[in-house]
Amino acid sequence: MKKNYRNHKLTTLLAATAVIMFGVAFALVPFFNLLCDALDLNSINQSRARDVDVNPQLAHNIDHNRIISLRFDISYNDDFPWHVVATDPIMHIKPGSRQHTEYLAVNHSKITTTIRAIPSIWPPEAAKYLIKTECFCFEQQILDPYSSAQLPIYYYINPALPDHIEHITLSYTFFDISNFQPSTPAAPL
Amino acid sequence: MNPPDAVVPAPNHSSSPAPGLWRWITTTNHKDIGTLYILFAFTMFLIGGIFALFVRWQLFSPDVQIMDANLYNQAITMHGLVMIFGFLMPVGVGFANWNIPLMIGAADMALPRLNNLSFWVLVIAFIVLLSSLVLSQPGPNAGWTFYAPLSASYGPPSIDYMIFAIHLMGLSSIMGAINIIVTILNMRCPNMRLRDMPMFCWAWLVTSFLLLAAMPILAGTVTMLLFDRHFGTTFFNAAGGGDPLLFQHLFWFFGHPEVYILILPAFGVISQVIPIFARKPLFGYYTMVAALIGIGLLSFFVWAHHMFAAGIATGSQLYFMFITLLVAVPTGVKIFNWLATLYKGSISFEPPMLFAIAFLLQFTIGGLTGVMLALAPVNFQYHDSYFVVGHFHYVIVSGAVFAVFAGIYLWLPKWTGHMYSYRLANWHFWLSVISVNMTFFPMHFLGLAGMPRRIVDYSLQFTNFNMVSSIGALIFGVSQLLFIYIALRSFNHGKPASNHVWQGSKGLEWILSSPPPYHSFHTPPVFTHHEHTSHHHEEKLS
Repeated sequence: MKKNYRNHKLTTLLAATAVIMFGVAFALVPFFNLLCDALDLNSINQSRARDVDVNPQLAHNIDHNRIISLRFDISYNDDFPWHVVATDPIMHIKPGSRQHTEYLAVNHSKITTTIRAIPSIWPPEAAKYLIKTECFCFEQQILDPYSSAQLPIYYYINPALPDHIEHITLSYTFFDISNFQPSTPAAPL
Repeated sequence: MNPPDAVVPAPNHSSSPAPGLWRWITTTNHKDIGTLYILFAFTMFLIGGIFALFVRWQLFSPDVQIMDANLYNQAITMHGLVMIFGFLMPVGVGFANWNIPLMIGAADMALPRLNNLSFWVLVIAFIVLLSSLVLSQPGPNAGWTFYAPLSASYGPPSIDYMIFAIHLMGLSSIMGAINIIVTILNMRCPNMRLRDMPMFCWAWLVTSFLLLAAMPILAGTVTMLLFDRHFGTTFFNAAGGGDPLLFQHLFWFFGHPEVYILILPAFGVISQVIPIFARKPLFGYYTMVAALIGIGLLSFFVWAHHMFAAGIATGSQLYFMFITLLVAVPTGVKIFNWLATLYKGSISFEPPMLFAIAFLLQFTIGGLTGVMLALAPVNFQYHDSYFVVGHFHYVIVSGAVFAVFAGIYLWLPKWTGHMYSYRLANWHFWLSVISVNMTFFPMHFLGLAGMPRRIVDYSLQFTNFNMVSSIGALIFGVSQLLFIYIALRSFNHGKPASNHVWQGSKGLEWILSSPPPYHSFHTPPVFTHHEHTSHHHEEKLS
């Protein structure tokens, strides 16, 4: 093969590789989602419990032999315009029994603000067993100046929760998104 | 003397280059382009160094306030971008351009016109980047890692200049990498198999593949950033369904191979220097090649060790910790092999060797702090502290930059035809080594004591070590002026250099004259390979 032809062939191949790698950067986005789902990573900030292999009928049966302690945690930074407190910081509940608690929020600033709460669950394996049937965290919350609200969470714990888990922490980080209006509604987490 | 490995072809015409300035704009000669890259790189070194000195001046003590926070952020951003993309990468490509054709017995690079384009695109890139400071204040101020959403939602218009400049730099690097791969794979002289190549060429072969795979990822990332900034996309914006963490993943998927792109060519230089001045063949040729390939491959799998504190899952942290510790192994193999090369060698301490030995000690220190950082649980304390700054400056400055100095001191007589002053070079060496440690060692303690990085001011208790660091930086900066003087002076002054220059030199580049003819190896040299065994044939005195 003439050297020139060999050079051109290899150059074309390498240039094509560079172009493909450019595409790989974009392809990484769905690829990450696939991989994280498959490896069950990042379940700790899933807002809705994902499908678990369990008989849906049994999920409603109350397991009287276990008590799970569920701690409700709150975080926000110094600039946050609300004051938020959990009505029941710790609840001791039986898996399967329907529960209800609330966060009390007060907007102590002079302007109407919009808030988003991002959940995080420890241990990560517990995330799919904590089923929230109704939660303030599903939507943005808006409060007028100096008003307050009760932010409800209706939930139960799937009795199929692995045996070694006795304590679960549900933590919410609150973000002020008043100045940040997306053009399209946010996808559910 | 050197047993003749190859025969210098009878000199045919040494056609001289075009006269005047036009020569430098249109040259396709690998020696010219190598020179251009190196001169450009050292200009950027001085510019990046000036940014650094402003940073260290601001940080000299808490009551120093020579610039506001926004200007300070620009200084650290530009320092990083200029040093990495403007100095280290171009100087490496300059070395590659000068040396690879000579080492493999080729007349020039495979794609000489692409070579010229690669260089001048880089110059345009830096005109764009540096002019943004003047034309569009505030300049880029989001750090050299320009995370979203800072760069996306809050970045000034100059970030767009930066994105454009990065695209151009990436293009330059990718074209250069393609050129190097094609040259190495296709243009070796007859009888030179890949396993007969000097280690410098192997280092550049692996580095070029890293460039080819990683730089386009950066291009994709900054394109997404540009689109988020101006075209209504929300790649990095959670409110639109995207994720700021995506930026970090994408950036570091490029960013980690990038730092190996910075260090592998340095490894290649050290592998050339040590055997020459130890008068002993490089220990473990095949394991050195395997280590290069191993480091290159693994570098794609470790990126999230820059993100331990970003909120990634525990399982991810564990995986990245283990795999990062793994990549320390082939690196350790290389250090061991260099030491084994020194063992029972006949060692002399000319300037290249001084820097190579300093590299061994200092890079190892940086590597060890890297292992410390790899431990995910303690990374939570080190992250975003001055400990990290200390780590990477050790591996980059007293690692890669020292290797650059070693390479310049090694090859300058070959390229210019003149020996430089050993006395001055020794001054440069000792001033650099002492000041580099003065500048960066205290940073480890500052980090452990809690000083964050990327801050314009700091708490009082960090003052003393910051003062030491700033004084060290000043001395280091001034010492590099001495280096520039030494190098420039050798262009026209100094004792004429022989062909082989150094007593222990082996390889095709050392059989040519110093300086080599403008067009060399027009006819491929006769090359006979020998096996890389540890029990080499006895050198016979001729």
